[in-house]
Amino acid sequence: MEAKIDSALWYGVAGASYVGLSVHHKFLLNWVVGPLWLVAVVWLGPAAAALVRPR
Amino acid sequence: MSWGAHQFEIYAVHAHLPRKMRGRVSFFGIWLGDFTPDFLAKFWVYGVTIGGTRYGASVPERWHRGWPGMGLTHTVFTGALLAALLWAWRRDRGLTVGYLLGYAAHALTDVNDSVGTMLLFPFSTLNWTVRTWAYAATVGGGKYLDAAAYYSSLGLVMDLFWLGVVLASWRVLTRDYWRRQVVPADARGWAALGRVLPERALLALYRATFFYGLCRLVAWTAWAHLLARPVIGGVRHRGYPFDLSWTGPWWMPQATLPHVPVLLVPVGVAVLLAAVYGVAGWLWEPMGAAERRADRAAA
Repeated sequence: MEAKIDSALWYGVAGASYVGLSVHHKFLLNWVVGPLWLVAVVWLGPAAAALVRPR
Repeated sequence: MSWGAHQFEIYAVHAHLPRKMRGRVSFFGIWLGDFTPDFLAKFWVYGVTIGGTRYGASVPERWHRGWPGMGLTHTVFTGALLAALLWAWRRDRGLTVGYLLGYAAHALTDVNDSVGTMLLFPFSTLNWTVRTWAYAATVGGGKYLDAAAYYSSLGLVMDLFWLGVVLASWRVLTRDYWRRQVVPADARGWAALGRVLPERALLALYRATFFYGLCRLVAWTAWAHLLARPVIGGVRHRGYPFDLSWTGPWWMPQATLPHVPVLLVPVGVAVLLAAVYGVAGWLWEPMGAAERRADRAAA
């Protein structure tokens, strides 16, 4: 369950950041950047967060 | 043209496959088939501007959907032809049938704008359109005006409809569905990707087209109605005006091409859709047998 919540959180982060940025920088709204954005955030986001999280 | 609808319909097609095809039709095939028409035709519709000179179609709707032009890319005939070539090359029925279904979904969905598609090409070059919203690719307006018009018209409703179809079949987005129904049909492709990506990334890749469709729907709608300050008829507006009337929005000139009577279109779409699924279902078993023979010969 915790994994599902964590996963949903990263999908939410990906969506909010992509929409938030692309609404001001519309060149980001294309079928290459959009899918790559999701994969990058969902895949690399947790690792990046673990690196900056205080131990 | 349709925007997010094309991303959502890929998942809708996969979620509603005939029973005997479930777990066997390639998601990559549907994706590729659905994207091919615009891969081939759309780059020149908006054109590019280099050094102040625009290079692109002088009549976007004729280039995109008409004849002479690239309108043949938005026809079931071309989809069937390319699917046949794909079959001759790969001998993979899941990929071939997926490609055909995705291609047909794109060509049939696009009958909704005021230009439509040449459904009976090459037998007729008349377009088939129900004129639900205005085709809005213009030489001067480019992609932004096109997006603003689409997301101010019944095009927005179309995207929401397809989003609703996918959400009503929400299991298509789950890990379990991906593992049981999607991966087996493209086992080699997913295995190759799995050598460089973890499962978390593979699943995100599978969901990525849906994600992109949803995000572009939200972002373009937000931009058009909250941020843009267009001048229409000499009046500055706070956002592009919504107009959910037929062939709206009112502030967009309605591009069109010679077409068949609108009342014929629902019948034509239903017949073609039934024909595509009928032929795919009829060929499914013989293609499977031919695929097994090809596999044995290769072994």
